[in-house]
Amino acid sequence: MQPQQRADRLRIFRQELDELERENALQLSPEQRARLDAHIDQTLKTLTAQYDVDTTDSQRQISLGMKIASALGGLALCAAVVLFFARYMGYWPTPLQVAVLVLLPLVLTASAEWAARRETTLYYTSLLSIVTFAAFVANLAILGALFNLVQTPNALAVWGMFGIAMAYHFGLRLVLAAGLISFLGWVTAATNVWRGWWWIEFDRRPEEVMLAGLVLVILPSLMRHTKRTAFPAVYRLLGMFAIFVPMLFLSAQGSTSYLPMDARNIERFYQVFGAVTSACAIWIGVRKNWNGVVNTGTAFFAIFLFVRLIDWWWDWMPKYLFFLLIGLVAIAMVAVFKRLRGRMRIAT
Amino acid sequence: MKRPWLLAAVVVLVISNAWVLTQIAINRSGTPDSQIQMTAREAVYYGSGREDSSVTLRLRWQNPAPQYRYVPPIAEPFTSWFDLAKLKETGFDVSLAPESPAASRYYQNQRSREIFVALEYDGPAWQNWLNRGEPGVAFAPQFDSRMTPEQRMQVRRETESRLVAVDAGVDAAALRQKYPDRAHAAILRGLARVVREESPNPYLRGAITSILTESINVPQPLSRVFDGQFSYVPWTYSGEQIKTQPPPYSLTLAIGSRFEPWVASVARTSQ
Repeated sequence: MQPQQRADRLRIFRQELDELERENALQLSPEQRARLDAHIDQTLKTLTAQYDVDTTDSQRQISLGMKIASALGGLALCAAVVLFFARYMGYWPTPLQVAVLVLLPLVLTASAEWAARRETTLYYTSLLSIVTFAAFVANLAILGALFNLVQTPNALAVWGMFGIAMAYHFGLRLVLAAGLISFLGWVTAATNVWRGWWWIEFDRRPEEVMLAGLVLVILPSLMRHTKRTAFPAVYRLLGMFAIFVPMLFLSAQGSTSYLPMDARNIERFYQVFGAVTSACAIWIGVRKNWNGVVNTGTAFFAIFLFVRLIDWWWDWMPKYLFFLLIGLVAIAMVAVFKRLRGRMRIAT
Repeated sequence: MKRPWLLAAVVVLVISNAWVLTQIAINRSGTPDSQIQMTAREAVYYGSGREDSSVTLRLRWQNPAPQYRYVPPIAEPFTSWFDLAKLKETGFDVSLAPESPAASRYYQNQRSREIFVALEYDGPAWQNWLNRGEPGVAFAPQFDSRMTPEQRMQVRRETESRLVAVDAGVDAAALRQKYPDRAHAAILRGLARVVREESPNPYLRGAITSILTESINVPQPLSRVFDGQFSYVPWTYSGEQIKTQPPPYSLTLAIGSRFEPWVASVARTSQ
């Protein structure tokens, strides 16, 4: 169990104990209560000292704000690094350009490690890791532009490896997502290269991206994440996007599919297949208690459904009737999901 | 090992940079594959914004494919060098007959292939390109409608890029053997596609869609040539007369053993 989860459970336990005592459902003797309170306080104190966990609701709110601020700050600093290079690098001699480009990600990696050793909540480490990843992307991309190199998909592979290594070292989900997206890009691009095609055009055959997405969804089931328990959800989320976004594209433009069918029939197939697959994802998510999978499946199920409804009804139906039907469909979906939620509650 | 992931990240950083710098060194070591003197007609500077200090030239070259000619549509089968035989030679799958009902989707879904492109500078191909375009110059949309065909041809002759794509292949050495003049024939990496022409008798042809190193960085101190206000308007039309401007700079473009270019020298020309 993560330290923050333990602290949350203790906080909720104490609140519930107060409630039970008020309702006379449970009465502890003053000595028992004092001993329990002392134990909880001591445990929370230890957790706070060791892991800087939040022990109150207001602390949790502030922590959430800090997480958002560090992510936004990281992204803003990435933009600052790239724009700084664009603004001044052209005035520098080539050796200085190369030295700065190569050394910056190394220095930032060392800074992230230095920050990680000094903080337990990893806000600054997270921010520095995002900037480090961006600096490494800028490093190779700008070197390529400076020396007029032909773009290669292998850059995606090394960005992916770097992002994944940084993410597993520090336990950062955002950096893992950046690494996995790069790796996903490389896998699909590399399949193009092996067949002699130009690597960037992997969007011309969306089914290849879907295949890579499927691998990403399955991967956490084959790897044990005992330490990084939040990581499998990131794999599944990105994998699902890599499966459903191309499916949406194919449901509108079937001619790019590998399926040996008429383009219109391919579109119909993916319209049905997309809705069925997203419903299956919801079902699997409910069974396995994967909240992220349920939410992503629901979002894509709704998108597939509403895109179809617009396609079928928008042109010929009075607009008030169309929106009325959309509202009714939404109410029906709420009823279905309410039942699903009930099942999830029983499962937990 | 205490921090295997951190070590892996640092190793990836170091090895990838070492690899890239080695490739750059290999490309630029020894005698360049070609060195071509050209001007602002072939390597255009469009200026850069306030937030961008880099100086980048864009390589302009003439594409002999039909869509770059002025007379649409072309009724006769395309007779340029990028024909069916060249498509096969460059690795495209052209096994499906172009008149087959499935051919449209089949060829539309074929992706680009990376190939080597031979570009000839200011040679017979440039003259040929001018001559082939002459009948259609009256239809060229970029000219003022009052300009005579002679004035239009003058503009093309005096301001257009003289770099013309003359051949393509998968073997750069074979291309170099075919075009041995290293001062007038450049070999660069580019992209090609198969195109199925929709006409009463559909046929297949190849098309070079881009040169992969069209954007060429000019490093310091060479980029100082472009300092200050810099604008080049190749030609102006007063309503009666044409006035063409000579290119404001010339440069030497070197192309290395990995067929990646760099600006070896650049100088302002006296106007």
